[in-house]
Amino acid sequence: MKKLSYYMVAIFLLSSCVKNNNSKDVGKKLGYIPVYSTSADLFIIKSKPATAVINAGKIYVKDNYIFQVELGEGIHIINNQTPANATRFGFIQIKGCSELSIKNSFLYSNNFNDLVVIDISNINQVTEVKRIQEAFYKNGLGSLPPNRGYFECVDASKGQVIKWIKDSIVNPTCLL
Amino acid sequence: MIKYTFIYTALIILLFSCSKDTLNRAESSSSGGSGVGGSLAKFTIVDNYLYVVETATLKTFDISNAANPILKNSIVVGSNIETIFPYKNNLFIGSQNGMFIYNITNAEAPQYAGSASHVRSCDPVIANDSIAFVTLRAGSNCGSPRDGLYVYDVKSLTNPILLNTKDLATPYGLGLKNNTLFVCGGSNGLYVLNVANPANPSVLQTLTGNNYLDVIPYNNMLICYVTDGIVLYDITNTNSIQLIKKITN
Repeated sequence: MKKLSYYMVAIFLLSSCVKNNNSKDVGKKLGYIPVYSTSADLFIIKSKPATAVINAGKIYVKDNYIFQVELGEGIHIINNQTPANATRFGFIQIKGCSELSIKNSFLYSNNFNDLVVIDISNINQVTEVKRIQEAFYKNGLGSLPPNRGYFECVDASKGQVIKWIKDSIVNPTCLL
Repeated sequence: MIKYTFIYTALIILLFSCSKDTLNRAESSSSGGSGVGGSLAKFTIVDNYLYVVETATLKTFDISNAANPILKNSIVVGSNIETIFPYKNNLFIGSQNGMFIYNITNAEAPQYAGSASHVRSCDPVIANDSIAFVTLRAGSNCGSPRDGLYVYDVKSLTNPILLNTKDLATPYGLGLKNNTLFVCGGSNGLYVLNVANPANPSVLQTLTGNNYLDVIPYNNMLICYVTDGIVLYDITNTNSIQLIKKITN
């Protein structure tokens, strides 16, 4: 049983296909560099006024509302009570967000790698009611560069990775 | 011996695929007070359980108390899992190499039921009792040979039988309402097909004016995700589809 758990761990590690680059002298390579933030706002869920869509993500429909993910930022709310007058209604700030699902008046999403449960019964003023920290693996939702290739390994002590930028890296040590 | 076979098999599966896709489509059915999702679903709710897929695992959260999810189960499924959608007693879990099927008769502990290599996560799928509609787009990450709508008999979930293929340019997400199938065709429009005879789908009309990426049929409304916003259509009468409103980005 213990051995089995080692194998499971091995599978988790390999499944992301992240490799440490063994040959150190690869020179300057184009790859992804993580951008860190230590802002306290990163883990604050709150209602905000409607805002323009920039990086549209998945859509979700529940009763009279249409929800759309703003990748990395939160969730747009469209009031669809009267479809002919459907309008952008508000925004829920959930940094690092990429997913959502709703049951009754509770919205589930990912705040980076935390699973958050948000009470939306007052759609004007939503509240976080539960958070499961690190419910998702670091290599799961959102902590890897958007594309394959070299990248600068993540140093968690520098904060939360909020985005990746493409740049040249000298002797990169991580490879996806 | 068994454990080595297991680990080698797992490694082979895992190392086989390392890429990501950006646009997937899976249908989430509405159940027990939950809503309806469109594409890119990595979360799905079936009754009192929230299922989450990530890179390699399927996690099961008990949400009978909706405000307080409890992790009940975490199992290794395969590599580069990208989508999940529930249908009846099964979860369809999509990777770029194929679709894994897990039975959730015991909702708390999904059981592996089979896999279908014909259907990959980058190929949007929609299914009813016996038929699955799949769109394949040339140039997607899966490297499909040509654009088209593929119709499968899925009475045996793990052994889909191809019934027909139909050429449709640049297909993306799709949605089904009774005998009407909506297929997003990007800048080529939104195809509306009659699928009363699923083995022989026919295009009724093509709506244009937007770059259509994904759709959710919701009661008598069709909610379309287009590149510059969301477009709502009245589909009460699928022979006479009416534009209701476009909400721009």
